[in-house]
Amino acid sequence: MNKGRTLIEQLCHALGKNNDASYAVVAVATAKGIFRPMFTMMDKEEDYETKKYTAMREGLTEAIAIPCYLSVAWFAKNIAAPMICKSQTSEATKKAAKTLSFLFVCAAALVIIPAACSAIINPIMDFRQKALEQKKSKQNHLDIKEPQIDVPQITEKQQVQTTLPQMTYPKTFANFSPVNYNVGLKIGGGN
Amino acid sequence: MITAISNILTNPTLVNIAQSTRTAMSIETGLKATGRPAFILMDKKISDDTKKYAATKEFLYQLTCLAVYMGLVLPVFRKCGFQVFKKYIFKDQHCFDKFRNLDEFSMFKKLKDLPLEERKQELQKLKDKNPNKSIFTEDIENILAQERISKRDYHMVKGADELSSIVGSVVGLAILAPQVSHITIHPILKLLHMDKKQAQKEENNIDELA
Repeated sequence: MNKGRTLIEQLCHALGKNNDASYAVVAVATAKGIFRPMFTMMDKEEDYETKKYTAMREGLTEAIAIPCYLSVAWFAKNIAAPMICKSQTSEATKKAAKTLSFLFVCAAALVIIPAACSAIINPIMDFRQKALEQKKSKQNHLDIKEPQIDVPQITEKQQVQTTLPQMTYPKTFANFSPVNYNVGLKIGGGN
Repeated sequence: MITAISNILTNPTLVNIAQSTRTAMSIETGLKATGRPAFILMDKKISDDTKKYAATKEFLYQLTCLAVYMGLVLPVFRKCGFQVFKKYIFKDQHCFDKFRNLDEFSMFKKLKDLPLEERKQELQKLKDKNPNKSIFTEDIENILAQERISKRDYHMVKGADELSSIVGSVVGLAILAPQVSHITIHPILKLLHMDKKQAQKEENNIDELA
């Protein structure tokens, strides 16, 4: 109990003295990375494969977001000193670093993370999809054995005898059928 | 140029916003609510219906997050957190004795950054508005009367407030907001005549045509 209190005390001390915009967003991203895939997998209405796909995507998004937030905060800390006047004190540099960190975190949430996600996640998901398809086709290949039927050899002479003579009729109103005209033509782009 | 940049970056209001979890998270969520749908609408690869559907869904999701955050973190987590820290966790420490409640601390935070003269004027205005009520404890009035306020006087309380806000942000944005959005977004989208199946069908038709 006492140890727990000291940890909370230490946390309060650190946050009170030196809070940063990146701390909260990293905490939220970590929690989202755990809970969002968990909630997705708990959904009973959705198909299992769709759930797996969505959960993986959500987990990957947060896994990309966390290092993004941390790196922009680190970058802000390093860029603050050259960006402000040399005459300013170290306290001013710290303040500038905090402001920059907040601005960069906003930029990361708005632009950097969505861009990084579309650059990284899409190829990973495509690769996964291809691997799944390959696995399925391999399984089908192994599972389904085509029945071997002995097909009797038909000679050319027999083939000629079995085929019916082609009859052609002139298209008149008497034998016109609109159904036949629509065969192979899809109207309205299907269902 | 550099002077202007450093003036902006060291601006007390901006520094306070950047260091306050609550304000930073609210601004970030607000930016996401406007920026992300805008980026979706700018995408030229997808059909208009899919774009509209995705942008509206993203906007509604971020709006739900903002509503849950503002409605949950402000009244519940910060206020309850303050009382829990004051009565149980830091009951032996004097730092919390100076503030009776969170409102008092919030008011103190606003005043502490002002120059002494302005601070005194603002304090007098508050006293005039509430003549029958003491605004601050005696300790805080003494601290506010000083030219320079040391961080030692309040940093533990500020830290507790930030920790409550972070816990509230995590619970609000990672656990509650997705659940609330799951319940609310689809009926709203249906009301707006935006259906996922319709958007997907349009997308498939475009793919077939291509």
